[in-house]
Amino acid sequence: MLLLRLIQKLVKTLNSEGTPGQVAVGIALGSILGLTPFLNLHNLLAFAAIAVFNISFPAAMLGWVLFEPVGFLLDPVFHDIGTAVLTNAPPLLPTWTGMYNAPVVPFSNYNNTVVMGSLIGWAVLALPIFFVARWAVAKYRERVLSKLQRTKLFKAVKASKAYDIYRLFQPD
Amino acid sequence: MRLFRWKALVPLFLFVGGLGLLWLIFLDTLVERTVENFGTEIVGALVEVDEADVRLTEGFVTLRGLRVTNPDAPMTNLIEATEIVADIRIVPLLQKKIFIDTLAMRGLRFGTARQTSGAIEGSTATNREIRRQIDAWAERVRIPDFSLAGLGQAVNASAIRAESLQTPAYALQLIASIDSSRRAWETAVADLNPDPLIDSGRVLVARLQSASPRTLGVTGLVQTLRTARSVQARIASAEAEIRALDDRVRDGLTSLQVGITTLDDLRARDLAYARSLLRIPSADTPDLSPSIFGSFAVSKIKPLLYWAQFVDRYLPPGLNPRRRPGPKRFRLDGADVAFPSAGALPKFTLAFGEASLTIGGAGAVAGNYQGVMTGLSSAPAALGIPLRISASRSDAVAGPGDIGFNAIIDRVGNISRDSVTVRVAGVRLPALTVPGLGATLDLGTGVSSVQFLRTGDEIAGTLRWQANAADWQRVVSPSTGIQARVEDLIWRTVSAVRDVDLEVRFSGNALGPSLAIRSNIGTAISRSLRQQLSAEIDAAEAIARAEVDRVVGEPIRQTRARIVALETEVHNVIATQRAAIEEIRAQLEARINKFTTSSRPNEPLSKRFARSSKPASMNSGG
Repeated sequence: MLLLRLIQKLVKTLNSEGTPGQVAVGIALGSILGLTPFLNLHNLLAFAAIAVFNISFPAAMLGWVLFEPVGFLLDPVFHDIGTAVLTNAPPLLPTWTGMYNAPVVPFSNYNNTVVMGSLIGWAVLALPIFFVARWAVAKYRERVLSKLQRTKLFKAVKASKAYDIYRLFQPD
Repeated sequence: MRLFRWKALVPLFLFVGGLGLLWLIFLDTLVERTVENFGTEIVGALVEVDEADVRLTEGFVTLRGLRVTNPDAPMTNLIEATEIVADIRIVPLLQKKIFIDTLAMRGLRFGTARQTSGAIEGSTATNREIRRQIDAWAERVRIPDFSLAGLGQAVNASAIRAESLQTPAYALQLIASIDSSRRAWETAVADLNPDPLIDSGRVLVARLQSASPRTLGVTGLVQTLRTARSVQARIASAEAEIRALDDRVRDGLTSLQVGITTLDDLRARDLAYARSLLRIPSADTPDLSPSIFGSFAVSKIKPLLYWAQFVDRYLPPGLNPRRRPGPKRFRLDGADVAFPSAGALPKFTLAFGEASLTIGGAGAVAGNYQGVMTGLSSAPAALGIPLRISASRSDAVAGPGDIGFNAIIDRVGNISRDSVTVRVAGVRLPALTVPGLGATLDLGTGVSSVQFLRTGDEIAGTLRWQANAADWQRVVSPSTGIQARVEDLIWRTVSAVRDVDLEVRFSGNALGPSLAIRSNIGTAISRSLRQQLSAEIDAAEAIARAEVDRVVGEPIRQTRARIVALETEVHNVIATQRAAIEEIRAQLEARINKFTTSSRPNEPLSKRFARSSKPASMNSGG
């Protein structure tokens, strides 16, 4: 519930534009918060981007919530990917060494196998997440929303606070 | 459409600022927890800090109430410090690196008792692996048994049974093999069965003897010769088969003879086994120190090997990337990979550390101590200088005051080169039990020294204890008869020895060095044993030998007899057949030659026939 309220307040504060593209970018960017271990520098940057760029902030929060369990499930795979990239890729060694000895960069924890693997995983999945989310939101608004609005349940929900979240997916 | 949401900047800055504020508020706790967690991870036992005080602006961190549990004794602290003050550099913190210029430790105490156990729930993976390897080494070390318990007891010959010895079982196996060979060879001889062929040959020879070309006629002669040659070929073939069988038999018999040799070897082993059952103390070795002090030596070497491996794991040589377990979190920890680089700062550096402590009282160890450490870092090759540690007693209240510790842990190059020297004089040395003698040896006050060298994976060194006022205590022995008498004699020998010099040398691979143990006690006991026990040992060994011979003698005799019988029997059969067939072959060849040999070998058979048909007088006249 705390998360829902936070999303509601953030929606009111930040006034998301709410086009399918904005929602999809929000979900794609929010997924990095879920797919990668949270307390890292890159997530602070991602959070700042979500806040500053005119994309759907609540959709980003939704992306975070949706992809958090996915991140847990894929952690062993991320660990293997990170191990391969960090320890079995000699051409990349100078890059990693340079980053390791650079200011601030080490706070990203890029040298952790799970962090590196999940970052690569997110980089690979970001575009597919964006396109799938944009298509899904458009289809939803086109075919499902009008039918849904006529149901009793929807009317009941609409009367409740939870509807505020639902409005995120409607265009302005 | 607008690209930026400018109004979000203020809440964002407030959010980031709030995070920074929280970090500052909880920095002390954060440092305290980090030291505790990291220390526990490294030591493999609980590390506790009462309080941390971080002054970033002034560049120092103070830790108060540090307690490091001894992983080998969880109710004891390895080290306890009242206060540790570290002077840290701020700029390296931006690289997530810690560089301590100076570190001072106050109120140091060692081996203090703990209120609660400092053992952790399952040691860390690294420490667990090191302990497993060291324990495996300790189990592999063979400590010779030394016991006088078997002396004077009635020799328990009933323990020597056919089932517990190897010779009877092997003899049965060999007899079965002999029988099997006998059957196989008898079958081969039966299959060969040259008797009909020999009979047929004899009949033919008789026919040829009574025949002549004139009586046979041309056709008869040709027919007879053809038959003769056919029989001759079959005889030659049978002879070859008999020869091959003879070879096989000889090989088989040779193999069975090897079995007899094995029987003799097994008899010797059975004798050794029987001797061990009798628990006869060995007096063969000039020094019984490995038997007497073996367990003690292993227990003292184990911590040394542990710390050698420990240092190797956490301070590896060279600049290769190295993996460490990742930080604990809800998500998978993974592994952190460090990328040290020459010239760049290591993850952790302690440029200079100093510790001083005072031990009060008037005892031998009372006095002021000073310790200095330089060049401690997580990547010595990156820092470019080896770790040096030295400690000494600067001022002594009593005793000789000779306490020194010097260590150089050089991991700057690609090969580890370490050396450690410890010498402690005037301290209480350990007391130990002397197995097999029913006595304890209290070394009292003396000199203890350690020398340790490492090059790559190879280690070598010495542990030495020297005392000049050792105290022997005899535990009341229930022994009687000869055992009690021998114990008394040995006791009188060793209890007079007050100067004790025990040396344990180790060398070889860091995970499995070999040990050499020497002591004047071991030599004295060995000499005394040899003098007192020779007659006893001879008598006991004679009984053991007689009993083994009684059990294994008959099977060995039977086996030998069977082999001899088989050899004689099979050889006779084959030799008889071979002689008979060789004889008939010779006769047949002679008869055939008589018919076919001519002064004119190319003469056609018809002409030879015509010539042989003329009167004998004409032949002799021609």
